[in-house]
Amino acid sequence: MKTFVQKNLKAIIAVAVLVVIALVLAQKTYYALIIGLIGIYAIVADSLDILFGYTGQISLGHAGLFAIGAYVTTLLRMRLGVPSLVALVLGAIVTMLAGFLVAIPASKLVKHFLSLLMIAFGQMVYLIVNTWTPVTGGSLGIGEIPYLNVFGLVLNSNLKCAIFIWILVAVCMLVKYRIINSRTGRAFIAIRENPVAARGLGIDVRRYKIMAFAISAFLTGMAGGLYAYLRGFISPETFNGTQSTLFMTMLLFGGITTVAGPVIGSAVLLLVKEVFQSLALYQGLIYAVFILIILFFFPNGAVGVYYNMQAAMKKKSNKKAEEQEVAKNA
Amino acid sequence: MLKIDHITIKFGGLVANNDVCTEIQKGQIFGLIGPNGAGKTTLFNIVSGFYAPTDGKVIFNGEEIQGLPSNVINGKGIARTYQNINLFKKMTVLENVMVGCHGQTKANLADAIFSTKKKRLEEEESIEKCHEILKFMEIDHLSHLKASSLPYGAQRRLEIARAMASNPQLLLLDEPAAGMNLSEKDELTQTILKIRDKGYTVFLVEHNMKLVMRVCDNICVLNHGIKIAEGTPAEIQANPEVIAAYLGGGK
Repeated sequence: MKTFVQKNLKAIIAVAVLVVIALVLAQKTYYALIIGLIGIYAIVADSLDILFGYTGQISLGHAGLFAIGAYVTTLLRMRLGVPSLVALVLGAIVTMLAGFLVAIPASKLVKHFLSLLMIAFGQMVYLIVNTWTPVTGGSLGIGEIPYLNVFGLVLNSNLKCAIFIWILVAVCMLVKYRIINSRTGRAFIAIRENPVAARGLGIDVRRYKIMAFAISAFLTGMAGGLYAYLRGFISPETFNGTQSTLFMTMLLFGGITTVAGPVIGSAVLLLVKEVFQSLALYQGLIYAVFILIILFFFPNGAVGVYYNMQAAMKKKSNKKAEEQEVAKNA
Repeated sequence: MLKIDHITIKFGGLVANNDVCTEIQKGQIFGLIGPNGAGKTTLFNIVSGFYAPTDGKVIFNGEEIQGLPSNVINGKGIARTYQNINLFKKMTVLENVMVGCHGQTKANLADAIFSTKKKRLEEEESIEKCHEILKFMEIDHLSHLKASSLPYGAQRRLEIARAMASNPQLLLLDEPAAGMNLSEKDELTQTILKIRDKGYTVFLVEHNMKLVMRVCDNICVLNHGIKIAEGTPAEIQANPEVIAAYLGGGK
């Protein structure tokens, strides 16, 4: 029997190297911010993966959920003086309830009807935070959000906040892995693969779709709260339709139904976004190009490319071994 | 065990089943035959909860079940396979069967997230049970493969295995031999008899007469949605109305 460490040695080394590089880079505040953001978006992409990758329910309105998490957390913290960590959890719970409510009609829809509903939902949230000025500060947003305080430890720098975020990323990955490899996860996948047969085997399809929406909303809401704490400032512009597209692109680019996909997608897309910051106007165009590249060349995302390469190498080495065998025999 | 009581279903002007009555006894293999478009699969869809009948009752173990959603009907002890294979293609063979265990298992989301002892035990039990079923269906050696990569006959067997995993009392098989070659059909005949001997009641729609006549205890014949005959295989083979329905009636 191989142990966990032996089985995943390559992955563990890769992660360790990345952590060291990240920690070195993160000494600069700006890089620490980027690293924190990658973590936040990775959580959102993971949550989308549960909903879209595994359960097959498309959502182009996750920026709306992200906004609810960010605003509820911020408002609870600043207006009601709720302790910061409690506000983060409550923000996620409120987002989960919002996801639950959207899911009640959404779970009856499929494909393009569902995507239209979710686009409309994202747009509604965007309009509400943009126009409900007395509460949300309107288009000016809310600034000077206090630091996150984790059991007495004040996360008063981007680096500290980023470390906390990445701990949560790891927790999210574990939670996702466990959900997917359980009875619940199998029900999700069965619904994606064939809802008719799933229902015929005793799965309450609607209930599980709603559950997937709620889980996804909880994680996205939490990511929204983390975003508010990391940036210290939120405004409606962060939560528009482009952001929803960005989340989806991250997931698709990284690769759906994989462990590493959401992280890779989040990292690559965010770096592209930062590098082309001066071309802000054309960001939609850049995402479009990414989506086209994925659709045409890597339908399984970056992780899929890796697996394909691995399979090709294996084939090659097998062939070599075979040839050698033939040569020996001859 | 299952009583189909004056079932009628209309789709617009089309009457797919007209006043069909029949009864299946526990431990039987009951065949439902008829020419194409006779309404056999429609009747299956009513029994398994995919359609609600326009009129009439379906009584299972003394309980009216017509119009209930199919997931509830599955919980009551009826499982089915499909005419055009409906597997979870990207899941492995074992996972397909494990989805079948859904109604029999209880672990919830919290159990999954915290990987509780209850969940782990249940998972082990399901895996063991599913391997047993796969062995019974003689496809256990394929359990790690993707369902879509199986040969056609094995896919049909997997559908039956998946249905069996939900612990049904009544198993509805919709054309299990469709598309199979001769030797596969012979093996399937044996398997269906074995399923019956294991204690399941089988309700079978099938076009292959050789298979039907060999395995069924009782046969019901539909034509244009109307029941035209019911009886043992020997009686059905001698029935002039059935012969007319299949070969075209002379005047």
